[in-house]
Amino acid sequence: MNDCLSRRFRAERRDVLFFGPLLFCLIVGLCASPASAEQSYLHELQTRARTRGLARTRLWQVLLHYHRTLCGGWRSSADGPGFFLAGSVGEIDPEAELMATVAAFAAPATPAAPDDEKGQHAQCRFPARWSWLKQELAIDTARLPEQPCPLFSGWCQAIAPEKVALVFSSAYLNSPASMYGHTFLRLTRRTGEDNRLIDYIVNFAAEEDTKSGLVYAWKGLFGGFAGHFYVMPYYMKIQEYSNIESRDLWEYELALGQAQAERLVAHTWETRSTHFNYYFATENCSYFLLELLEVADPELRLSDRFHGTVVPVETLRAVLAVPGLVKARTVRPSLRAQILNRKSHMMGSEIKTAEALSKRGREAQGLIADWSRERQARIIDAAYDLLRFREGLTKEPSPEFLRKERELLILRGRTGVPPLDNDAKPASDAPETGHRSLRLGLAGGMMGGGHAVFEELSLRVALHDFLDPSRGYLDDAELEMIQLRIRFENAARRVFPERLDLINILSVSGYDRWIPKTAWAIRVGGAQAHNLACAGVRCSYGGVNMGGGISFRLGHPFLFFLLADADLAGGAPFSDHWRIGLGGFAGAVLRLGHFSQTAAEGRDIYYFLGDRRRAPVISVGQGFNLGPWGQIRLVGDAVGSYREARAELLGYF
Amino acid sequence: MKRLSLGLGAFVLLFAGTAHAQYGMAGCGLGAMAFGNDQDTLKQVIAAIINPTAGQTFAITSGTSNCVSRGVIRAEREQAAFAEVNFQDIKGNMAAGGGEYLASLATLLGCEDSAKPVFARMSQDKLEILVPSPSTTPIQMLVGVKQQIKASPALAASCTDARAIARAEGKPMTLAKR
Repeated sequence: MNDCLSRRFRAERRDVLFFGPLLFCLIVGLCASPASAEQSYLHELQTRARTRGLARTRLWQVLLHYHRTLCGGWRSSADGPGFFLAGSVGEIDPEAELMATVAAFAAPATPAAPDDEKGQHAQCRFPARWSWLKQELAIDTARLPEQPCPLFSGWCQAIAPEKVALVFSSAYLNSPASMYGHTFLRLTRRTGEDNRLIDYIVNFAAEEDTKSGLVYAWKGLFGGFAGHFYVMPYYMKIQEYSNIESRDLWEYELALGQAQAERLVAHTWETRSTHFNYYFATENCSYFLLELLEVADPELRLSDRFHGTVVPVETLRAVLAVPGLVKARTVRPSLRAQILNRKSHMMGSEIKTAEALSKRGREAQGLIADWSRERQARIIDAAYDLLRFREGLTKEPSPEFLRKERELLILRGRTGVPPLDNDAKPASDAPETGHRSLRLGLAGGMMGGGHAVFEELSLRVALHDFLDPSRGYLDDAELEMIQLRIRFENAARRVFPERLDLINILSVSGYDRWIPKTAWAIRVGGAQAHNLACAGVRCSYGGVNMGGGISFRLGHPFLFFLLADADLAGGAPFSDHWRIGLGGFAGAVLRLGHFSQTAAEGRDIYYFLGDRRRAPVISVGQGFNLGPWGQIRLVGDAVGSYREARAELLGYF
Repeated sequence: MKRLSLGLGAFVLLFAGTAHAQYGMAGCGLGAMAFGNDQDTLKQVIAAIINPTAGQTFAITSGTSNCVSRGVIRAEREQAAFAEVNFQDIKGNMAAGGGEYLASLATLLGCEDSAKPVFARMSQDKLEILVPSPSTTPIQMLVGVKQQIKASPALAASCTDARAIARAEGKPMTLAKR
């Protein structure tokens, strides 16, 4: 054993003898070398960061998107690994990530190709972190050299942010992802030319990788899409939203300074290394914009207010609720609103002439030859917009379109008339003037001809029906998600779900010759088959309704619609437990100021499969608004020979 | 919430380098205006602002020295992207003798605010030259606009590359020297 020890000892001694001088050189060399100096400076910085508790500061939390977990720990909402310099532990450990970040900032530069974004130095990949830590730790750039970041600075210079505006795009019912509206940020350029079109915007969006509607819905609801921040010129969004999708754009200028705007942009750059798991109802575009605004001003506490669903207009309200944060509001009415406004200022003969011009181009110029130049210009402007709206907003405009387009433009140019004003109005009042998204209600009523009294509790997660206070909402659409009404029948001492709507959409834009949009409806949910002389849970059924048709207006307050309707339902009350039928669905809506909405609708279906008993439905309702926060509503329903009437008190939260 | 697949891809045709060769201005040329073979508009426009690789240009005031400046490339890519995406609106504004799109184009071309009414009138007067046929492309229109600026002493003095480049680099657009 001793032998063993001594042998080893000898060996070590021999090693010492052999390596001793080498080791000495190495130690001396290390002490004298800059690497060692950097090492100790890094250590000093890390100690300073730790003792000053920087990992617990609000800015560090918002820069890394840390949120408190239920158990009191931290978790970042960033989901891509490239975002964390400490590796996966960085996602849950703010301090470890801070230490790793300081170390990465001190790392020597490695030669990288000028356009290799991922190979850049950490200072260049995380410029907002770097700028903040440089200041907080009073980093001496003589000891920890600042790296040149041509890619980032070129990018940031091109955006040249000075001020920030929150933009709310009104709802677009034809896409499930846009039904609730959308928000993004516009960055005013500091070059000061005030052409909003060429400002840049920051948009959060999911990277779509499927064309299947079902997969889309599944991934949107339960996760699977990766969301990113995208920077692009504002005009891209104006073309898409304002022109193609007929959505008004509401802009809210925020009281954020240039330094804050620049940090916001620098942080947007940082997120290029990661993604955020996108959830349609909760962690969506509007939610992540709030996180971005918190980076600009860490004192803002916006994202913490949302724990469940995030409806875009509610994020707008959260921003408006911060005193002094919103400085001004402007609106950009959609191309559709501009066209309809032009048309509303024209006489019948002028409308016909504009239609002829847009259909036939130069061939129709004789129709306006004798008119004043100003009047010609007005008609040609309308004809051009109409032509464009009908045929031009497509992937590849036809040669026919291009020919007529040029002819109209030349005709317009030859009038020599300067641009004509278009005082188009947006399709609704400002979105924040509307009622809140969540609705709770209490109701009492009588059913079955006055013999049975009942009470009801109701809940609707979102968003709007025709009887709700109409202010601030598109007046031509109903959109409801998850509405539940629980009924208590006094005499029978029975509790049962009276109605459940998973989804209910009715889009009735009002027919216009220039912009003929079809009306459509879909409802998925359940109800009670009261007309079949049953009651309670055994009387419940579920089903789907889908319809299409037309709608039209009489002046502004009256709206009518008529739809062909298909009905498919299943449940215990039906003979054979199901029924399928086709029929019609019609209704009328009358709005009086901000005070009252009246709606009546009827539906009659001819059932040809399953339970064939007819059950025509008529419903009449009247809503009296108490303000955007509440309403008193009276409703009368008839289904076959069944009757009920109820009064409801509704509150919006 | 909005889906990424822009119906917009729509508006944007790729610049085919050779097709525009005859419009190239002295010194530079349009070949390099292509953003690449990617069909995605978004990527093209993003390329326009972040991609610093050098290429040829078609500046208003030609001169090979400009061709190596990153600001020139960026300014011209922004002009081209703007013309591509907003072609119909720009043409409509030209015919009407003014409007937001035309004002923005003038800014991208380095025009002073005071010159914008002149620029708008020129666009209306020369519309048939700027859009010579139904198949005129955005780039052809843009080149035509630049030629008209050069040909008009008033515009040439107040719409300058120097201002366009300053803007593209995030610097204030100072008034042109008289």
